[in-house]
Amino acid sequence: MPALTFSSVSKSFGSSEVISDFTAEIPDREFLVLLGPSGCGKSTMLRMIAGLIDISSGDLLFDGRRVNELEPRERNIAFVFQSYALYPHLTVRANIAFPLLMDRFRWWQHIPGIWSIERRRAMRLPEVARKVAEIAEIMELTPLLDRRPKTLSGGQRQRVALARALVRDPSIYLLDEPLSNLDAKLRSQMRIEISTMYQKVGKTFVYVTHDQVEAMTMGTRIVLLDGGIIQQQGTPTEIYERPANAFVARFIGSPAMNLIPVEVAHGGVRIPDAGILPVSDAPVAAGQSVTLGVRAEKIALAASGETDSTGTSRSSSASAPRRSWGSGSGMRRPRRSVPARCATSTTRASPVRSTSPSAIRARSA
Amino acid sequence: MTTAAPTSRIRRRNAAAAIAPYLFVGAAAIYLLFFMVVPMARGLWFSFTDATLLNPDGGQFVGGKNYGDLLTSGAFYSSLLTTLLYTAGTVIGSLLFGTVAAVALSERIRGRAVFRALLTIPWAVPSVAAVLVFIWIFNVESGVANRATKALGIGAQGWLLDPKLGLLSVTLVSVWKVFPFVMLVVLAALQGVPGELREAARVDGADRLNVFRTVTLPHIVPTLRIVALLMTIWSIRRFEVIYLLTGGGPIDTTNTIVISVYREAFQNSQLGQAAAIGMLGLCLSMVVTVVYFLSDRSDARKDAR
Repeated sequence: MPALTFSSVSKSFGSSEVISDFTAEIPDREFLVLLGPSGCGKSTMLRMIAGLIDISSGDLLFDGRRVNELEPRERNIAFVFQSYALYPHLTVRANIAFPLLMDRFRWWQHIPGIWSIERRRAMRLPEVARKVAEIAEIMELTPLLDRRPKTLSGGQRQRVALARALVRDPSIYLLDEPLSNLDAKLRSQMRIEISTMYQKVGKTFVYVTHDQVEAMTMGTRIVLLDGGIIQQQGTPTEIYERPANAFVARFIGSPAMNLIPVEVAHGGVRIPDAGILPVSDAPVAAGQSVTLGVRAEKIALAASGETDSTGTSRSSSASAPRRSWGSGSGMRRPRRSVPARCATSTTRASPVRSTSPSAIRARSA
Repeated sequence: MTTAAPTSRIRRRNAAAAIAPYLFVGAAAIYLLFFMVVPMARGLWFSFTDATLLNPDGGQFVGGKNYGDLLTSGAFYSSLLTTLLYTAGTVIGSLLFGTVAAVALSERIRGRAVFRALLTIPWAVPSVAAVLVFIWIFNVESGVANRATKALGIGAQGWLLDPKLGLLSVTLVSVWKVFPFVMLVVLAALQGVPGELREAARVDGADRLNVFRTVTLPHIVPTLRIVALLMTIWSIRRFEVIYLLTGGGPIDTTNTIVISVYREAFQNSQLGQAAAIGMLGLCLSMVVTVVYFLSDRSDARKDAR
């Protein structure tokens, strides 16, 4: 239900700032992915939303209400941890029921002995028992209810963790790299399960991951962080097609976007030692140095006999599979004798392939 | 002949490999045999004789007389009760204080290292020095304890002289002396409590006490259990603190089994009688250990489910 508003949220541990000036508006019922490399502050951000760590400065609002000072349990959230964080001495049933029991806990039950009686009674309450059974049914945990977490497999533990999150009908789900401890097959399966869960419950999800595949396939909205600073926020398509800076361009996509230093010329950009690539609307004046970003899949090999814009040596299409992009680290540069041809789709309908206009973006270097 | 040499060498090596473990265990076994089993066997033998301190080897075999005397005398049972009360008090007190101190020290408080060092001192101080300090603290005329009770309006107490207070005072000093051990061990166990589990409990709506009960306590229970066993055995056989504070008095109210063994042997010179008390004390320690291992095993079985 709540829309999340971050207004210049910052977090410092001592003198080191881990999140700086995080400002974002997340509408209700979004699947927000906080994406970034390890140590970029995304887990810290998630813990601030949960109220597990304090916000150093700035405001966090749920539906316009400031929640900075609220305890985690007052924020009506659920948290799924990377390690699942199941209570090892409790059965699956007691694990799932735990948030419900805590809702019913009164301070005087701290008097020794009272809670152990009260706990048993609360577990038998029809509304608790029914809710746990219902959630267990959804997550296919019914046969495992009396087992302990350590006798379960990784995927089953993950489902118990999700069940525990679901049981209280929270308005925000916070997930901290929930799939990183699973094997590849299970991971793609759980990815679908979480997406299905999101569709079903229709609540706001905030999902932390360093895996761009998870981000692109699950998120309706991505905030890409690096060094505690927002690099870009937007839908997966926006971030993929129109990266805001070189970091985003390199981080998103596999292979990463090709970044080529070029010089703006009339009617296009000049690729060093190659020629002029026509670009319809160059954003800067001619003669300036810019970086050209091109997605690999937008580049096609010219068919034999076809003129190519680079005009350098050509080879027959028989040898064309040699996709002549250097395989160096980080930046990819075209080799000099590239038979490949870069062109915008407006120029020619090539039988091989061409790029869409949005694929080629020129930015000031 | 060409094949015989390597074969015999291999055989010799196998033989060496077979002997090696016994050699390693052997040293410890011989040590234990001489310093544990022999004295214990001698003690067992003494307990069936009327040997005296002046003539240890001149004792006559008297059968179960020593045991019979003990089991029919009220003194032994009161000594047994004292031991049990003292042990229960010391174990519960030190576990409680030690755990509370450890939990407090595991919080991020200012000057944590200083507090940890200060709280470890009682364990590090030699018993004799600590007890001498406490004898002064409990001094009837000028002790700190009585000054405090006077200030509170309770009036001076005979801490080590009043039969009602003797056992309490001795237990208090013992708790003070040994609780740092519990604290340090529990503190180490607390480092292993997963942070995410504590966070999960907070998100699920648990307050601090519930986080402790749901996450921290189950995690440190195995540690507490073994510490409790050690504390129990050490309390049953603790001698120096009690002997130096009260010597078993006032009116035998702190006369634990170990104290009465010493008194019987070295004050009354009744070596045979003392040995019998010692043997029964040994049985007590063994019962405790067996109960511990049985409860541990049944818990392990419960966990496996």
